[in-house]
Amino acid sequence: MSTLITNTFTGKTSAGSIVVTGEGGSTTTNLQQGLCKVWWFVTGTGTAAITDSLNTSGITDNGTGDYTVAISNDMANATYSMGGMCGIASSTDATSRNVQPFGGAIAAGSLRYNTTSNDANTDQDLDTINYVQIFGDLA
Amino acid sequence: MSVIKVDQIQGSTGTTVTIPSGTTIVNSGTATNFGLADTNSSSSSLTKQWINYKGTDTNAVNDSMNCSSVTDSSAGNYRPVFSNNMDNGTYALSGVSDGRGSGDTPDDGVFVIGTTSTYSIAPSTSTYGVLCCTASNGSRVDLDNVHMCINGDLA
Repeated sequence: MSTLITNTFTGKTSAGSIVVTGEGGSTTTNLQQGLCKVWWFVTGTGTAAITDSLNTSGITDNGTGDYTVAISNDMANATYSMGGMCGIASSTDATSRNVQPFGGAIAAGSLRYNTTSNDANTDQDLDTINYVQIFGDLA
Repeated sequence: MSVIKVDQIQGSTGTTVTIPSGTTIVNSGTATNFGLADTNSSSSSLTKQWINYKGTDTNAVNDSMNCSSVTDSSAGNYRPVFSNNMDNGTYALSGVSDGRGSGDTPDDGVFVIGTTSTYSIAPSTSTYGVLCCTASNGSRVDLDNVHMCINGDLA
C-alpha cells in the first residue's frame, strides 16, 4: 500500500478538480464535487444552537421550526443540494418529521430551513436535534 | 552535491526499488503517479450524486453532479439518471423537499420505493425513482425544490 502524506490537494490541470477512480474501476467521480461542504447538528428547542458543524458561522432562530444557518466559506451559488433529518425526543413524539429547505431563502452564504410535523402539517421545533448536509460547489 | 541523471529507475531483480529506512527523498520539482493505485479507498466516502431539482413547471435540474437528466414520469414521480452508473442498486438515497414553494405544504415529503410498482421503479445502476407526496392525504404532488444525494459504489 502507498500512503500519500500532504496538507493540501490541488488539481494540476484545474485547481478545483481532481478525478477519483470509482470503486468498480470502470468510471470516475470528482473529489471536490463529492465532498460534503457544510454540515451541522443543531439542538432545536429553546434557543437553537449549533452543537457540532463543518463550515458554519452561526444560527438564527427565526421562530418555531424555522432556522437560518450562516455558512463560513460561501457556496458558489444558491442551487446546491441539501439533505437532512430530524430527531425525536420520545416514543410519544414519533410521528413523521421533515427537514425542508425554505424555498425563497436559500443563499450562497446561508440556508434557511424548516423542521416540520407531517401529521399536523405545521412547523415544529424538533426536540433535541436536527441535522443538515449541503452538497454543491464552494466559491 | 552529486547529480545523477537518468530517465528511469528499475529494480535490479524485479519491479521493486526499496528506499532504506531513515532515507528521505526530497522533491524540488514535480513528481507524478506516486501512490495512485490506492484511489479506491478514498472514493467510497464521496457522495456520488447530488441534485437540486425543480419538479414544477419546467422540471429543471437547477444544479447537479453525476446526473444526466431527470425524467418526470408523472405527478411527483421523478427518475434521475446517472451520468456515470453505480456499481449496483444497493446504494443509499436521501432526499428532502421544499414545504414553502408554490402550492407546497409542510407535510410534503420525498420517498423512495424499494421495488418496482405502479408508482415508481426500484433503484438500479442507472436510475431510481422518487415520489413526492403530501402526507395528510397521500397524494403525489409536484414540488418546487427536490434535493437528492446518493452514497454508494460507482461502476
